[in-house]
Amino acid sequence: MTAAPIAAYILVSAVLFAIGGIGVLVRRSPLAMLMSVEVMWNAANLAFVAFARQHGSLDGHIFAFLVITVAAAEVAIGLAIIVLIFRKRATVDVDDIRALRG
Amino acid sequence: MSFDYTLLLPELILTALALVVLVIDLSLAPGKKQSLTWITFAGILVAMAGIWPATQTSASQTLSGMVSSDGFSIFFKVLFLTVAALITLASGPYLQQKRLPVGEFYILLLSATLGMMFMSGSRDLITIYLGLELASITSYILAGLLREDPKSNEAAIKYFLNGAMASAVLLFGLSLVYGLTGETHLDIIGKVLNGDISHWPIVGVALVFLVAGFGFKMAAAPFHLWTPDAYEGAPTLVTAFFAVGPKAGAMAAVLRAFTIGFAASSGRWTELFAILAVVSMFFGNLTALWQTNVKRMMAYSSIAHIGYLLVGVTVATTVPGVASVMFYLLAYAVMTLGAFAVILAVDAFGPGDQVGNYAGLATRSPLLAWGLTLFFVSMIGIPPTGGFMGKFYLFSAAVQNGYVWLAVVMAINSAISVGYYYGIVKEMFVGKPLETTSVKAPAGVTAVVAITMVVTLMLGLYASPFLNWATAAAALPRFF
Amino acid sequence: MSLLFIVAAFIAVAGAAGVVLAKSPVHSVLALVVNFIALAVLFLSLQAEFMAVIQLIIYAGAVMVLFLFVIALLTARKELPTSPQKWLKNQEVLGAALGLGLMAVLGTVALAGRGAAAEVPADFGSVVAFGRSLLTTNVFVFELTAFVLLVAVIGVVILVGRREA
Repeated sequence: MTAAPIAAYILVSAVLFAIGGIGVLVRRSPLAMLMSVEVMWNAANLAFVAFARQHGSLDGHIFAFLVITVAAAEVAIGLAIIVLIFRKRATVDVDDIRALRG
Repeated sequence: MSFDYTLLLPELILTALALVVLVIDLSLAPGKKQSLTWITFAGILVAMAGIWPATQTSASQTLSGMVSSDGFSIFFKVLFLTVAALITLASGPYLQQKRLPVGEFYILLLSATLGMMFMSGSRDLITIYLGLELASITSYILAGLLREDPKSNEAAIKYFLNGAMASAVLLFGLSLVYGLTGETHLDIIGKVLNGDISHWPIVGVALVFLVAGFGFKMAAAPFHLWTPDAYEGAPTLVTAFFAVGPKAGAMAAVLRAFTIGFAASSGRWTELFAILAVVSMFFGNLTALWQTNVKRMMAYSSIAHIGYLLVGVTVATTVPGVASVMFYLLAYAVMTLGAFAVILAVDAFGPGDQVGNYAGLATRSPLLAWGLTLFFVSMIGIPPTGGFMGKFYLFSAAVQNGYVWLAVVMAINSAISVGYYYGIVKEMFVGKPLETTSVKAPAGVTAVVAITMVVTLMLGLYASPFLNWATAAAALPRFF
Repeated sequence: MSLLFIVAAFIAVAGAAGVVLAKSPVHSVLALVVNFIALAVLFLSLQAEFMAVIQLIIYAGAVMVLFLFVIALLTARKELPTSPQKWLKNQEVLGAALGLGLMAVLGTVALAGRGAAAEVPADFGSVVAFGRSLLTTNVFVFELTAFVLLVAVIGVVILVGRREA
């Protein structure tokens, strides 16, 4: 038995995904955008784990495990790029990066 | 469980090569790393030779059926390795001049190629995702290699944030597909979804997510926002790679995933791709008209070319549709790499990357000027070039399947594109040069220009062997 | 629907909202940690023991430390300026509208989970079952992730490491 119907987990996952999506669109600080993307990835992970329970197959766990690993690598790269940029400047705001025309 | 390693020989050789380059790089003194270029180049040729054993065995799937080495993936492996080889050939003096880390550049190039090869061979959502991430992560790093240059920094952060969000969108789509079918293997997904219409509303949402995610990766409008900045800010050599590699990789994954996994709902996703095709073509070509920076112009031009390719994806439910996409990718890769080799020479070893910098190039360096003219002629789609044959096959595949309007849109757009290509050609042949000395292009870059010129003409004049190859390869992965 | 699920789901959503709404990056990170921990609880309630542990170790542990470290590094010398609100207005409206639309679409997504959960053996999602699947059927995929991590290490070093001429 699970604590709630699978559909409820998927609903939570969808809400988390939407909140993360709003965050990426609304926030302008690269750090906050990166964290919002993290929320989106985690929403997908919750869906994978919930579906794995529904089907009784471990493939979803494997997939979520790989997503966590790859996300860690991606966060490392993202933070490296952010450090690279802001070592030289005072601001952490995407709209202030204007060397290129939008 | 079957692990047939001969089928993975090219991937294994490439991985080993990356590790060998990593170790040799450590042992070489700074500034004495020219030998790495030739080691990498030779290694890529060995990897290409490693494809041969796979064509000789009857088995085609390995790694528990997750990866297949059929004609389709072999076609793309040859394409990716050729791209990597040409980039390597042009790289040596450029890396030195821009003071880029030599060994690491090759490792990243090889890793991205490896990721793309996995994308083209994947029969499983897990390997598609991992291949795509491997190619993406390396691309973010490559975009930011010029770390003292604010433009390169900005290219990296924009590419990264857009790419990361695209990954999340794609992932959510993949999780829905897994939820519907309980499987990650494309063949089984295709079987489960086939004929069961009760899945429809969720399949629809999943399709939208997948199309958006892949659309980001191949820079189709309206998911192209990162493209112009990433192209302009990244080192020119890397831009050349971006314009071809990741796009072809995403295209290979799209062709296989949608035609196998979603064959049952092909009526729906072809509509989505038709919309993307039209938007990409018009947006790319019309915006390119206003650009003064050549790399930026090429970014918009590449969006337009993705639009042409998506016309083929719209009819990818038929063998000629897939074959025409594959043939056009081949022609696109060759002419784009050639054009970027010229742009690289003019940018790094000549006056710069603005349209005005091309003034009088025809008198300064005739080979570069004629080469670029040929590539532009091919991109517009004028015979006798590979671009013409490619567009012709896309056009006829669309018309045969009742998409006459899409073919007409494509023809109109080819006409629009004459506008911006002509601007540069005019500068080169009519403009007054500020200097009269020739552009000192390194031998490797000149060799790439010469090779791609020959191949572009060959694809135009002797297209049939290549088209037959693409058709044979396209016929393999189908299940309908 | 058990109390455990309701509480954990509520905390997860609140944490995610905190990430988006918090003005200071440190508060965002803390909200993200709360979100991750709540997700780990949800994983446990789905019999995904190993995933819950991994979630705590990698996300709530390693990734969060990385975030905090970078924030500390960037703000050590100067205060991070808070974004002025005036030009944000339209973006916020647009983003919120898009997000609400997205949520409406995603509501239908829950339909995907409408089937009953399968009967699973007691060791479903345990380290043993997970490890057996990861290191037999999926072992090559596992190796490929190792390569992804290697590339990430190389990338970080050449992006921000010291570089000799």
